[in-house]
Amino acid sequence: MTDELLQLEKLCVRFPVRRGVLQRTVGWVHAVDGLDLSIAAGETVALVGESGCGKSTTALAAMGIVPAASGRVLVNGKDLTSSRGDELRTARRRMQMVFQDPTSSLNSRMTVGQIVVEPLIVHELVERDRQRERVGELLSTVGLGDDAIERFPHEFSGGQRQRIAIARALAAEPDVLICDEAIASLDVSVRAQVINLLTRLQSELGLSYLFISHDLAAVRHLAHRVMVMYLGKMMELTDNETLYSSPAHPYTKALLSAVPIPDPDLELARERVILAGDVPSPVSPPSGCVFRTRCPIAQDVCAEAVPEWRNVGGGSAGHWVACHFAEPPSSVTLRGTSIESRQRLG
Amino acid sequence: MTAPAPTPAIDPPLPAGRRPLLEVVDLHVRFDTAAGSAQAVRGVSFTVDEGETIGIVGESGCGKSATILSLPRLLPPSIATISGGSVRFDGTDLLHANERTLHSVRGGEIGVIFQDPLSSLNPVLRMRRQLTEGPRQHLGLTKSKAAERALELLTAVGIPDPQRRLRQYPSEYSGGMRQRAMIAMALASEPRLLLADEPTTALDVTVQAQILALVRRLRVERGLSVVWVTHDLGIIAGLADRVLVMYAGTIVEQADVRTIYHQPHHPYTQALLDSIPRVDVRRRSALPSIPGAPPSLIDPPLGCPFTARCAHRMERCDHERPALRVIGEGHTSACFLDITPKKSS
Repeated sequence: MTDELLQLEKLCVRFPVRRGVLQRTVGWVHAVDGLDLSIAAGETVALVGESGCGKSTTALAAMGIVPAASGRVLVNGKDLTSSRGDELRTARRRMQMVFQDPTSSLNSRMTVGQIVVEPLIVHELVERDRQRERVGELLSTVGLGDDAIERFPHEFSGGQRQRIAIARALAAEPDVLICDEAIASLDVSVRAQVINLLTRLQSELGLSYLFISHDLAAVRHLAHRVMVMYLGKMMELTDNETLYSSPAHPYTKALLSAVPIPDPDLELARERVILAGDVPSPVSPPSGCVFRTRCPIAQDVCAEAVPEWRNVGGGSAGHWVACHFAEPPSSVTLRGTSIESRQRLG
Repeated sequence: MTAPAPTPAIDPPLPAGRRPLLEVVDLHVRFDTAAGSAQAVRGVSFTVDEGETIGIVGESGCGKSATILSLPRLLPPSIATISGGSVRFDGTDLLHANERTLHSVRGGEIGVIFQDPLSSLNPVLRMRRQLTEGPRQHLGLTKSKAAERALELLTAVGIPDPQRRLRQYPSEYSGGMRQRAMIAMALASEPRLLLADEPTTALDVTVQAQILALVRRLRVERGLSVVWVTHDLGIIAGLADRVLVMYAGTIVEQADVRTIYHQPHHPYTQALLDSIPRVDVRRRSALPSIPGAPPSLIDPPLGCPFTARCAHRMERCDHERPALRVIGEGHTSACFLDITPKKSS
């Protein structure tokens, strides 16, 4: 497997739950529980799910920012979890991260030039006398002018700041860019600009993206493959078209039907699966299938057995689902669907 | 400080014999900041009928929240000044009402829900106390009657095990539950008008879907009027009867929900609709984006506020601010363009 740039194998991340004066560990939160995912060169894989599903923790574990409890992170076939020193630094350089809030991820006391030049110095990528030129190149790649170099982050709008964060990530000459909710805090019109920038960078530089988002509409526009997570577990993984046109997991169906569509006629005619309640506490997740407490088609077996991660067929590279009742998508019917009809007043 | 620009105020004609529940005329709001005085709302006029849902959409800083929070005068006077206009709720002039009148309207006939539920919940009071206060004060219910009602409300907003939840504090609730509890609180005194300022923005989509379903049901069951402010055009499509599109402190377009989405007139509305990725269709090409950023409201442009980013810009747009004018039935737009340039896809 030479074309797999980033591979996550049976990745588990857990955090201790501490109680009392002595802060004894009384339990564990399994933030990520057995995640398998690989990203090829030039590919965009999206991780989607609601808060607490483990998508951001996955990103941090891939970067080595939080330690993995078990499992492996391979960058170009090299195991990051067992690397040290220079080897680790080089592997990390090839993965860079863009965060949700550029205001807090950019140092407000550094000029844009200082921010973008830092990876060049740390990783010794260009000669000293070429640094300024390279910073200018990077800024123009993300659509900013040379005049930005001497200015501070607060002088820029949210969208421009996110461009600066992207320029800084690109400075390290990465192969993989991990975008953790990178467009979530941007306004609609600016969001489209940044989405287009990411698409353009991918085709120009051959970048791979691990795109972490709760925005299923943006993911539909950007991703090649999509992984749906719930309470730290994998629920469904397939290519973009298959996931959106024939989702197999009841959670994915509910998630997709909950995303509003900007068309009043479609919204009126839509079938909605309204899930009851909230995501359960990850400290004591439900037995069997973690989704069963909110699932509209849950049966007794769902509480007893953890559903197997299996390929139900279809899709360009398989269609993986963790559900006892997932069938080849065309024959799936959802029971318990509430069809809302909207009545207009006046 | 520049003087407020002359305000265009054309409202679609009301059906005969109906009085609007809420009537906002030429509202101006100013924020005094260290950098200068920002004209957050620059002459906004609209009406809300009984049982009607108005959606106000726009991006950050367009004045949508400032508009809705000014109606019951909830903006802190230390930073925000309502510098002009009138707000009439069921005949009462809210901008000139005394504290006592305001107090009986807020939390009584007008319920307000915010993006951050913690800002409207008291952390040191049990939920029972917070949910019964409104009905006891505004509806004159006894303690036990109000407690019964609180139980009903928590059940109605979909909070499981409401008996136990009533004894708890807000900190023991999850984010989604707090939001639902805040909605229950806003509805406790049977308001006629619900003002919602991005109440679902911080929530997960499945919880957002629950809350939207609840609000849709209440509109039908109780004839509740709603003003819902959001940046999410998807929410508005499924909720509103009429939509106001705001940009740089002004309303740039106003129409019934179908017209806004299917025949938008203003170039900003069109560009906004074009630039959103959709979950139901996959675009093969780049998203059309709007270049640049909105203008500063400390020194707003003389002409059309959208002119610098507009694809249909004409010379007169630079120095003349277009007034809202009637384009079709119940459809107004603040743009000089004669025809609908194109149908939004």
